[in-house]
Amino acid sequence: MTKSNKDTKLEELKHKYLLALADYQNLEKRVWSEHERLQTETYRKVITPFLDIKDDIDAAKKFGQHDGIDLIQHKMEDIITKLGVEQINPEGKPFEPEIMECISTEEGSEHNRVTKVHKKGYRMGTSLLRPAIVTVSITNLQKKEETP
Amino acid sequence: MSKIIGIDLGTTNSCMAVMEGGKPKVIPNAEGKNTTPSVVDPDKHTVGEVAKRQLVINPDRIIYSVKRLMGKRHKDASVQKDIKMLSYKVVEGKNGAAAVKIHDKTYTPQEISASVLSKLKKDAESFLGDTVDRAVITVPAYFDDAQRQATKQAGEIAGLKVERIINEPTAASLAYGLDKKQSHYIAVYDLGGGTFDITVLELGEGVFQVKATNGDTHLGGDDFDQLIITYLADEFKKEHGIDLRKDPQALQRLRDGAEKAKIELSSTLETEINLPFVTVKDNQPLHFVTKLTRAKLESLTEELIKQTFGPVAACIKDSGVAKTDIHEVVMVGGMTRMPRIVEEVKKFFGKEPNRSVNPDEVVAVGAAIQAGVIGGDVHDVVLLDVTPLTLGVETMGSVMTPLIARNTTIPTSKSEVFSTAADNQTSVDIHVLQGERPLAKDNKSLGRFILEGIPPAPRGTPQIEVKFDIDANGILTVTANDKATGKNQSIRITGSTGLSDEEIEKMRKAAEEHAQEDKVARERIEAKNQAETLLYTAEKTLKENKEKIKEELYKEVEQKVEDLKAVKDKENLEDIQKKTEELNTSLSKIGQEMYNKPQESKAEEGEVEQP
Repeated sequence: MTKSNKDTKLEELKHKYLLALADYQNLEKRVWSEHERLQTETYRKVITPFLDIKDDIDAAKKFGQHDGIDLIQHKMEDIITKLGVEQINPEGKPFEPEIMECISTEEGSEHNRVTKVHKKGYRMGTSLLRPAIVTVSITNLQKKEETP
Repeated sequence: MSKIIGIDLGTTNSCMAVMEGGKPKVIPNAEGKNTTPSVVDPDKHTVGEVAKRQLVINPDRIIYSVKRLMGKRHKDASVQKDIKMLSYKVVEGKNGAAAVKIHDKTYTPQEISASVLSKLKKDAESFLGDTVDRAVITVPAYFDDAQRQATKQAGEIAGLKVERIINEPTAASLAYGLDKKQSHYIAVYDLGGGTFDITVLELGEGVFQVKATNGDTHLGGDDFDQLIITYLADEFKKEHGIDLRKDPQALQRLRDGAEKAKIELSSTLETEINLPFVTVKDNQPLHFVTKLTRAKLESLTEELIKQTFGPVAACIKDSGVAKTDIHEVVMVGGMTRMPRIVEEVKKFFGKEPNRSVNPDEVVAVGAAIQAGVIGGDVHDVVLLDVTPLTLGVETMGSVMTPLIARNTTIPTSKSEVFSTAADNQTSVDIHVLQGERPLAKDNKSLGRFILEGIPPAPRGTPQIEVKFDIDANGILTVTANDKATGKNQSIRITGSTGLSDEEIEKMRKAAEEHAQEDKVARERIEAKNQAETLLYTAEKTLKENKEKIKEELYKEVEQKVEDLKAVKDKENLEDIQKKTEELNTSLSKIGQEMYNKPQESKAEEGEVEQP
């Protein structure tokens, strides 16, 4: 191998070494954030199916007061709160797509307000477990007035 | 140097991946999901889930499926057809091109796609902790030059240098490494959220050629969901006379239930849809509980599945390739998880389709591999070898004790401290083994050596450190070191990873096949080892404490020792365990008795293992 060949080879190897080192350091940094993400994902996977049952309890409550159901609901809310899960109940609030999903609209006096909450939303810290499923008001009247 | 990412810019969803350490990795978006809905709110500059959630309230402002308009002219038949289905306004833009109009502003499809790409770029940058300014983007095989050009422009608007535009089916084949084989024909069956594509490719030895492509631009997973919802709603209506589709809340629950059922039926034969308090009739709550079987789902969607095979047959015909000459079939798109689809594809092509890579991610993964080739880190990856089989030493009772587990990346080293099995043992035999079986005799012997000159001591006292060291070339050095004297001995084995693939496979298979009998044999040896250790302790205790133990108890323990000795070499595992337990109980009585007497006596025991 000539000297210049050796130099090229050396450069090439140095480059590969630096690439590998960079890859490793980035991996190291990411392992931590990935760890956090996985933890949230795991929580999401475990908690979300139970939210489905909570929806059922919420739905049951619409059909009359029942002490027993209230107690179950209270217990369930207590558990998820202790796990750090926060409920999103945006009834009457302005529609925010970051935490809500609109499935229908209805005419109302004010534009873009949540008129019905079909399913409550849930978040955990900054991570959204599930958006609230809502109906939002729109003001078609306004439009009609505009058009002569 | 920044990385090049691979992007699958889809009609419904987009996905991205990158090569890292020689392997493709899907990059999750800021919301933690591996795919991002290709939905944009150009007004508020939001993209993905957040934009999609407003689709109902702002149907004229939220842009989805813009890929259908990419590089198209407004007067094109397909655009005219799509206009009828899209909820936003499609107008004629510059030079007759199709464009999107929101309020008073006009956007080109490139600009809308660029918003999706910008979000992906930003999320990739925050994930990788590095700037991302180059990408490989995939397009359907049927995209013409104008559509490809438009896709490239979208990338550039987003601040990405588009290193290459590749066909989605080609990317999917790359993800399966099919380009590495010699030139051959591949069919790619891609059933996504809203489109179906079938492509026949010639691939390999630097050849990437689309022989034919076909499909249905309005057939996808959404149609399957809709059928299930219709079926369920009809069932409910039949029973209760109420149409759940008219109540948005009930419809939403039905939709969630249908999607969940569809996913579950890919892995189970029957699932339950259980929606308590779904609606109300005569002031009484109604519940919806029903079973949905895989067979029912299949009969519901049979027509849709059949619909895909018209284009498949046409594509094969156009390609001029005989069905029997198609070497590989690749599955793409979430819907291809449905067992019936896999079955039908298999029936049609007469071969098992490739579907081990996540079908939602396979195109992005292939794009990342192509990006890796361009970036030079695919050709040049330092492929670190792994140990194909477990390496270990033989220990007491002819057991294989593993030190380096199989699939460990090398170079690596590992050490463990062992001891002697007999009193005054002055040498140990180090037998190096390779294999997955628990008994030494069933594994491959790589070599053995003897470490001598250990000072005489009771069993279990000497500390012999055994170290396994494999360098990057797979050369294994095993060293045994007596910690007391510093004496050491070693052996160098060159063939530790040099087994042929067949040999490795054979050894792995044997391990699987014999798993049960091996487990039994190992348990027996362990029980025997435990028995021997206990016998040693018991005899030593009796000998050393003869005067201190009551005669009655002494005799009892002596008897139990004889009992255990009688069974320990026999086959019956339960017997050995039972007698060991009995001796243990009697022996602990001695302990109790001695503790009760305020006398000093210590019996030390160490780990007793013989390498």
